[in-house]
Amino acid sequence: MSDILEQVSTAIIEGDLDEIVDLTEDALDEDLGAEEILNGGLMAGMDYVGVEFKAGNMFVPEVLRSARAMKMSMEILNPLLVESGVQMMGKVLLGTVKGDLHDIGKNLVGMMCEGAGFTVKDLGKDITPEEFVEAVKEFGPDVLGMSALLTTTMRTMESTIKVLEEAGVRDKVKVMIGGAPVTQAFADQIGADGYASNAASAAELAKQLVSQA
Amino acid sequence: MLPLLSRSNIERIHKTSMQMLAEVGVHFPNQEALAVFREHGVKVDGQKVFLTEGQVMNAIAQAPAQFTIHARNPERNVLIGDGVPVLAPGYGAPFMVDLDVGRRAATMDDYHRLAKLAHALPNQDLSGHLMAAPGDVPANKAHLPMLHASMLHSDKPLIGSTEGSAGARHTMEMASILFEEKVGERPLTIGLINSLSPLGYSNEMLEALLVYAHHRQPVIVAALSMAGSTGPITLAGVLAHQNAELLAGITLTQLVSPGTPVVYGSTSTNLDMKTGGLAIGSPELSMMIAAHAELCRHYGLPSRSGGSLTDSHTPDAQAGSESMLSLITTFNSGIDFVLHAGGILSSFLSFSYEKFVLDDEMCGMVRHWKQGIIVDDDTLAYPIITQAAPGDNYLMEKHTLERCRTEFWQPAVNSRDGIESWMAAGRPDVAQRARQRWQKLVAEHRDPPLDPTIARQLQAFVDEQ
Repeated sequence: MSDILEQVSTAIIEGDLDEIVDLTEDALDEDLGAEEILNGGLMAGMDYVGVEFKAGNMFVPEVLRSARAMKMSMEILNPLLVESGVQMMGKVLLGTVKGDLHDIGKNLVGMMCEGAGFTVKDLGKDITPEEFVEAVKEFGPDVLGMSALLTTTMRTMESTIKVLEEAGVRDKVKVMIGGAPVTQAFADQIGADGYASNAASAAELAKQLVSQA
Repeated sequence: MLPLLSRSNIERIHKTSMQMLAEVGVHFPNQEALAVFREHGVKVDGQKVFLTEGQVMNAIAQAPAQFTIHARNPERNVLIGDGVPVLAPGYGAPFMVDLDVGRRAATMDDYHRLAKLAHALPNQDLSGHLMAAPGDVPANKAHLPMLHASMLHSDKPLIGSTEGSAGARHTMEMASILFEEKVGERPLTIGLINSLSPLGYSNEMLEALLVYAHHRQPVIVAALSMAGSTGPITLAGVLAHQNAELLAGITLTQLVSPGTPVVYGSTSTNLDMKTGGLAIGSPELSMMIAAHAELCRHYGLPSRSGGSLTDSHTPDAQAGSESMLSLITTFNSGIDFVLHAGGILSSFLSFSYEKFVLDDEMCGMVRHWKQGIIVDDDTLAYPIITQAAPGDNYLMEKHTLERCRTEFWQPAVNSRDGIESWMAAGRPDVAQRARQRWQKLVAEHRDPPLDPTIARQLQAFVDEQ
């Protein structure tokens, strides 16, 4: 591995927000391709972060900082990747369903998905089924992620899926759901494509769902 | 027990909270609440409310330091605010954990059994609400059969529903049927209002708060801020921001209806930084319980905190040690109202029959321990000691015989049998004994007598909704 890629990768692992932009530009100056930097620097770093997080050696705020560093670098690389026709990971649309104002877990999912190389659009919280439909039409995501913390609001995921069907866009996206009261059984029951119990597995799930598409 | 916060530390927390109220504001996304604040000259900007120290202190001075929640059986009334913990079952778990399959959805059948157990267990003082959310009834109506179950199976004081204005209104109407009186004269229930940390409330909770306040029924205004995510990672910062948001909510209750009983509540604790999950078995939780009790005394408000809390998913040694730490801290701190005194596992996400039974046993242990040692002529037993020669024993003394069934606390589940009988019985652990106990209690349960007319009216009300 070239020296500069190793520095990029280290900056991702350490979540070095001060250096990551300069290092990304240095790598480009050294005539490395955007895809090479993505795979050899960013993804190499995030893979390490993923392993260390699972092993309990990296803590949540540290992982989020790594994901933030990844995002900052991707903002530079993205236009170049698009230009050179590189197949991107895909787009993820997120939101907490109507009636629910809890969004920490969903925000973590967003950052982990960005860390995994997705372009993420986060609608926020208390999102109506109609707002989800509009956003699916406009943003064209590969994966739609819905979140709920309350047993009273998790049912809204089901009605949101129904509204997506009625609007004729259900088959255009993979739907993944999550939140403390949500289970795989509930996901199966309401016709979601997947369920993840935490932010790291949600990013993994998004990757799987995209590869199935 | 030594105070956790010094006088000057409490003052600093208070000052910081007052500064937040004046400068940052608290989010109240409810038009009626905002109108109430405006009518009382409180500065409102959009949905943000900015309170002055004078406005807050005037309001909380009107809340009673003590109040009684009346049960349909007056012998079961509870006094809140005298520093003696009143205990209530766990609240809000979306799942059940059972010994055979682990996590599963709760059903209404489970809920009936839990309501019966809440009645039967000797250390639960209230009949509980939303112990585990039943998955087989529509979530927006689940409060009706749950309230109904507690009213039928128990004559202990009621915890009401705060599932939006509908949950709160239904609680008032059902309480009115049960007690055959207009709700508003005296506390007949209590509702749990949660803030949305940091510095906000949901509309659903504010709707419920307003209904309770209009009916002069007690509410617990409580926060569950997570140090490191919904609050700063440092506990002092969590105390300061939740103090601001809770005092703002309490102020609203007093502006709507001065003198409405209100309990100042917190189960704030830390986020586990490795997993991002809530940590309620942590020593940080117990620090927060003790600090919260001290802040409540500072403001002269009844307190709610603590419980038998754990992050374990099964009633094991981890569940026991963590739950005991939080429960004993709760008692030692003089917390007035203890939600989650029994049944909680999995950081609030699960309810377990076995844990419920074991926690109730633990509540009994701690209650007995808190009684302390009585020192008088009778207990010093000087004549008894003089009668026996050194090296003799007291087993046959009348003094012993008369007291052998009453002097000591007796476990109902925990075993003190010898190791031989434990081996012979196939080495059962305490969870298996707990299962036998709850199954027996549920099987033996008989609903306390209820006037058939009232029973019919309650049934009719639930059916109509």
